[in-house]
Amino acid sequence: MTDIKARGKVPKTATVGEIIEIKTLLKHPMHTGRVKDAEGKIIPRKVITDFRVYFNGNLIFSIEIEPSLSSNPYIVFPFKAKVSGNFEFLWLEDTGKEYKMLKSITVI
Amino acid sequence: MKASMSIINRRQAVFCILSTSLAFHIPKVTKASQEKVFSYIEDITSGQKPIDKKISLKLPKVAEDGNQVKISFEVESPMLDDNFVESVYIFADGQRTPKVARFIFTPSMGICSITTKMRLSRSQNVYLLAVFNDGRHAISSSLVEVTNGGCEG
Repeated sequence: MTDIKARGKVPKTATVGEIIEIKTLLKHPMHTGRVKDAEGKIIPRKVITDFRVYFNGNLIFSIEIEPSLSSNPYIVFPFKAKVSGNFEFLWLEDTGKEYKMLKSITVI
Repeated sequence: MKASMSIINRRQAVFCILSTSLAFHIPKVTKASQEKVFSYIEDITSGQKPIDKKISLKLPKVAEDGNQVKISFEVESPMLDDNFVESVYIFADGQRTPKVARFIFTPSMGICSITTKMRLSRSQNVYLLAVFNDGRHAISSSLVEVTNGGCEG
């Protein structure tokens, strides 16, 4: 089993009104359920279906994901910094599992 | 391998070269899959005509690895509370599931731009549909040649 790990890059500080770039990557196989392993057995479907980003508790961005998005889903998106706060990144898997990551930013 | 190469005649050799190059260069997009994308777009936009908005959709012209094809886009919008991009849909007409993703934006993002990676199992068209908060929409598309196909998504 491969470890599923969330990674992300959020600038530590930003100025008021600055548009920052946030990078996230979830180490995840995105098994479509159509690929066979070395022994010829079908690898069961296991995909990320949703990605959600909250800032100070408010949903600011989300993605409905289909299996045509690559394995290890990599997303770069913008955010306009106004106040300091905390980001919560959430990945939902079709198996019901969730993966979470927290980051914070100081706006000066 | 060498022995078998030497016994093929010129006609076979020409056929081989032609068929391989054709396989790489002609996108195998069936009409049905393209229609599927158009019907998705029609459903979402209720058949209204697209408006003219600046969309930058960046994809490689030729993708060597179909498993990880980089896609970036930016849709022109002030991203204000009363004027912003609500959703961006990405479709690919050569995939088993032509829907790739729906990005749901909010004005708090400041601009409407994304970079990500997608799978392309063969050469095909990638479509971007941007839906604005007032219900209007804009479309862009790009043809990608894939030399080494990725998974069927």
